[in-house]
Amino acid sequence: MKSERLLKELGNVSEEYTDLSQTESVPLKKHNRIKYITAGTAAALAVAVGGITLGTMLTGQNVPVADTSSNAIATADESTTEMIAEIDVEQRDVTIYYSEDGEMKSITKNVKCIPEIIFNEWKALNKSAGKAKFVNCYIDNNGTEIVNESTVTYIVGDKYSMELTLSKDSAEIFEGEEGKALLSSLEKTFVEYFGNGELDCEFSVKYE
Amino acid sequence: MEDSVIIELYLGRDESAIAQTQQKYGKQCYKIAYNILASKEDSEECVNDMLVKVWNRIPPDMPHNLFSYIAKMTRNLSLNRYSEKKAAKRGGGQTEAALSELEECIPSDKSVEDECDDNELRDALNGFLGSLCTEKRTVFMQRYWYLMPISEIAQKHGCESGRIKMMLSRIRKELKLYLEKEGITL
Repeated sequence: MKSERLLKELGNVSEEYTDLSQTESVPLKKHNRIKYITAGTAAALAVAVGGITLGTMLTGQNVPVADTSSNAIATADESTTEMIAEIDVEQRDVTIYYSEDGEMKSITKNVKCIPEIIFNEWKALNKSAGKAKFVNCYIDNNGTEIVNESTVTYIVGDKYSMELTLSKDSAEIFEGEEGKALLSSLEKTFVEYFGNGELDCEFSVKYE
Repeated sequence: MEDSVIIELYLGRDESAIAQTQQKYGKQCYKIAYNILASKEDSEECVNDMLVKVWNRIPPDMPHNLFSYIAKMTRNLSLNRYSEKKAAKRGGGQTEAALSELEECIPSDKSVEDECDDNELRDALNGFLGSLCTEKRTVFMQRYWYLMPISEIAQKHGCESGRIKMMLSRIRKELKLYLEKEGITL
């Protein structure tokens, strides 16, 4: 069995990786933490924690933003993304799908796990998506929070919904047969990026 | 007792080396074996087999890290015993679950090339582990080297099991992509 071979050979990796004495009980860092956003742009930030959304308009000031939980993502428009000075987010290989000559293709790119960045990568590959602008990405799940006096514990759910908000004029790019293929590539890219194809994730797009 | 002193006992063929090893690392090795075999008797036997094997192998072996050396030996002995038990359809532990999870990491066979040899696979795994941040590597090794239950890993890191599951799922996908990029065929 191939996985047996993999499991066995893992046993022979370098000793520096098997010695966990210094790291085995270290609390895991929180990810997706935006430290601050530089001045000069007004943007809408959506921060969703356990299903509650807050909106904040930036007016050209450095604004510290609260940590986001792993199932909610903070977003901004394109100019804000470029100006984000320090983002402590995971960077990994993401499969970006694109539609070409009626066929669904894909490439893998190593990118920061920020929805807007992933959207822009998708847009770069899907030329017919030229008009579309990213506004927001909201993810919710059927998880629950347990709150007591001193702590909040979040129990991750197993069913997710992902709502992507694009600019109003984006709607027309998804019309027709070609548009359907385009939408499918967008959905595949986002659902796989978020859940590795394993999570039960319902995807939708809205326009504002 | 310091590891270097214990190794000196082995080199001097002083049998108290075995007792010292058992005293210092016996529990941890038992845990590794138990995670794989889920059987008290089998785990104890594996630890005893390991102690005999270490006595016979040092010298000429000169481990840099005594725990890593004996942990690896315990793991290999336990996995061998697991394979025997599986053939006889007995027992289990975290191994079956870990094997099932690792199935996701098997690179897609896109060519008819021969399987890679063990050295190539080991080098690729070392490369992959080196590319991970400490946090991810620790969790990955706790699950697939030490065969720890996910709940125990979560407890050690002060988080929920769901977070560990998600992290492992992502790392497995990264491993698969890495092995495919390296042209590894299993």
